[in-house]
Amino acid sequence: MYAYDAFDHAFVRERANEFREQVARRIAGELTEDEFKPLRLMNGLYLQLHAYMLRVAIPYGTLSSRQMRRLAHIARRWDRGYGHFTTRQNIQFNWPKLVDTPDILDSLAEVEMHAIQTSGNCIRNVTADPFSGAAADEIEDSRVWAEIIRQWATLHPEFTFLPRKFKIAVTGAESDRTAVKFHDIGLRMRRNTEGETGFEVIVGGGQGRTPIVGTTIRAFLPKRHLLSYLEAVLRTYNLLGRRDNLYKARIKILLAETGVEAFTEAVEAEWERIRDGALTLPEEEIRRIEAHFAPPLLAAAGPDPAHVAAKLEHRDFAAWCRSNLFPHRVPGHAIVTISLKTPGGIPGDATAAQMDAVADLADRFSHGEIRVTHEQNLVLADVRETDLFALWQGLGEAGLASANIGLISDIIACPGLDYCNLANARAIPVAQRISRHFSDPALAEEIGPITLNISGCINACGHHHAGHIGILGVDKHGEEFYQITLGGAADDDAAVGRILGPSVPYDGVVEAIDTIIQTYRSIRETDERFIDTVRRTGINPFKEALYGDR
Amino acid sequence: MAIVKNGRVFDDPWQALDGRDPAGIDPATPLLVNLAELGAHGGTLDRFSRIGVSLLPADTVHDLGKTLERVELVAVTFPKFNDGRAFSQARLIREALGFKGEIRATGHILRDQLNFLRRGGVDAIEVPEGAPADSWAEAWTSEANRFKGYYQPALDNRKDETPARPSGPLRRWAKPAAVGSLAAGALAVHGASCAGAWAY
Amino acid sequence: MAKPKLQVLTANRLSDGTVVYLDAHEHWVEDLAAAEVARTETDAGRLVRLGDAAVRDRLVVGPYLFAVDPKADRIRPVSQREHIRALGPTAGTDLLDTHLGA
Repeated sequence: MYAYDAFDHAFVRERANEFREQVARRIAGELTEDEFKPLRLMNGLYLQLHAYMLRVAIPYGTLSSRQMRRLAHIARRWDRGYGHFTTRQNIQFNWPKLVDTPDILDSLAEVEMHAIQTSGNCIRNVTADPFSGAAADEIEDSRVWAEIIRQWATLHPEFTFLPRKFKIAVTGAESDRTAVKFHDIGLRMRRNTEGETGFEVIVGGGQGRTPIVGTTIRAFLPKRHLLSYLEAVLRTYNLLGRRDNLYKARIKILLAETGVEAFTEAVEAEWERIRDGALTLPEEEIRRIEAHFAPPLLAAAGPDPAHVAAKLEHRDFAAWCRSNLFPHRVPGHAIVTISLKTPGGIPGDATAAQMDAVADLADRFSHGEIRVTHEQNLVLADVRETDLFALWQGLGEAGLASANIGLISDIIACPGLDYCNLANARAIPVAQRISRHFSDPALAEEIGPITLNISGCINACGHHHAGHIGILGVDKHGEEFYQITLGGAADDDAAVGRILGPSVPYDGVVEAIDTIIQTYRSIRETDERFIDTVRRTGINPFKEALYGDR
Repeated sequence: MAIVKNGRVFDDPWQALDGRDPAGIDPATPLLVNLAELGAHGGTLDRFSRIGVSLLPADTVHDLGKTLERVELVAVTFPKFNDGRAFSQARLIREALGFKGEIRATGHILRDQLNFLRRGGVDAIEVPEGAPADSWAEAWTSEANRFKGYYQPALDNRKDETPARPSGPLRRWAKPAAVGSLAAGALAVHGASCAGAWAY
Repeated sequence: MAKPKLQVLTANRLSDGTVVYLDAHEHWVEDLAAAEVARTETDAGRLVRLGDAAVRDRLVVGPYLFAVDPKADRIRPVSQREHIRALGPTAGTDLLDTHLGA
């Protein structure tokens, strides 16, 4: 993974010092809250319902065991002993004190971490494939490009006061695991007819009030032009994006209002002016960054009889292998997803002890590296098959061995009204109730692959639009109600979910989901996944089942 | 109104036309007009020895066109600090149109934006009403010296000239800014000598 | 006779973000039960002014009034949001269900 050099170290220290001064000016009264707010947001510090919330950047979701241990330390020392992994591969601490945040940033800087641009109207954490470097279907490691973009975007003098936040995702595999079409800019690595790799540039995807799948504005962009092209897009957005209405300020609105052709023309005109200039990426720079992401040397191995025997002897282990493993490009290895979705637990949360446990397991079994997925789980990407049983046992001791990746209890949920100032309804207890209801592993496995995403408000941080089942919390006359959508998808067949019918009360959600699942089980064809059934039958059978007699 | 230019405080000699009839104004007055006024008064502004143009955030920089040859000052506006269009306008005026005169930021600016402005081609700011001009002048310089380097080329940095230092071709080392780096009286001079040394 | 509108002033403490309420002695307290309840618009206006002063004194951030139930025998917020602010996160607990049922 990327390792800081002296330049990077100096930068985060200088940035932490700048924030320390800004906090001091705030406390001394030299800055009002209105003046301080944009400054603290640019260092990821929110003021939420109960307390401040600090969002620490985990660039493209990759961190070392040392960094994970530092996050555990921060949770213990300056927070309440836990953290929350987010749908943008970052981590949030819910209880820091303003006066402690400069110390927290200093502590992060020591391990090459920061909270730069995790909030505010600027370029946010660039997300990438959590299986980078390891997946069998990989074209190239998307994190190389996420790192290059991250550096270019850091304290960019022109793009720090954009009309709105800006989210970029990069994917480098055949299969998209980053929801690339739901970002302001999605970059999809492609091979052209000459065998060169470059980027398909997708613009204007997003969720929130106006969910929409992005549009390809350029089918193939050579790598060396990546930054100049992004600069052209951002400059066009900065100049033309709406400033009059917060809810219409994302680039997706600009694209829709200007039209794809006119927008693309404007971008390409600016790009013509600056391409081949100072932002052109020379080969040596690409190599320099690539070298940081060279995968560990792994010895291919044949099937391990001990592993097979362990599965026969321990059915729980076998179930975990079925749900939590993904094929690795090197035979005899696996990509392991660690579930942070214990049924009945809080999705995406980990205690300090659990973070330490994962760090230890990463050191023992995966070359000291951990990834965070946008589904709020963790990944150990390079585990030998022979080590899987020991790893599983270690996870079990830490309460992290739920065998539910990609199944119904693997729920994405935003913090919701329990924590967030913007929320209309709670999301976490809804997730807890649903996951508890479907906690029987055999039932979950029988239901099969399904995504269920919950957001506590229209800002959609829980990505409900992109869930096979989506749940959106709304406020109806002061009470919590939930609108259910079906048929959303975040993968290659990206789609926005469709509303089933009137919202249901908090106490009716579990029953509604149960009805939907029972309907699916009764009409599905052999081996048909939930989303495939919905695509085949449409939403009517489910609508009927849920609202039929109304 | 006080101006801070390249770290020093000056009184602002410029007057905004502000809807008046240019015929009634002394042609020695440095006159600041907006795009609409520029279009409306056209040739009658030729009497004035010093002309400046003031842009609104929605104005298109490329509409300035050939006018810039005759203009000594461009003012870009921040109706609110978080309306960042002026950053791109300044960048384009400097980089795309090759303007060598003064680019001034006006309106609602935060001290914490000074470095971004400076890196974007802005060399002067109109000090917000009631704010202490001296401390803003100081901040212009001290903020420029906060970071030793930056991650992207902009309009103020120099390329790394020492191969031994850790770097990459996109990184730029910050030019150390000295207080009062602008020669005294330079505000009175036209054109090229107003420019900072734009190395990029 | 018009229904009395009962309101409490709340904010977050600047230094640590803790939820606080203004009490009858112009102190900021963490316990909702100790908060002052404004029963008239005049009282509410007074609380707002005290809140603004506390902002200027850098004690709190973002003060605002919220309604409490005139029929309850204790200070009981009307909105879900203020319940949760008073109780803390409900996630993983039965706090809200119990409290609302009480």
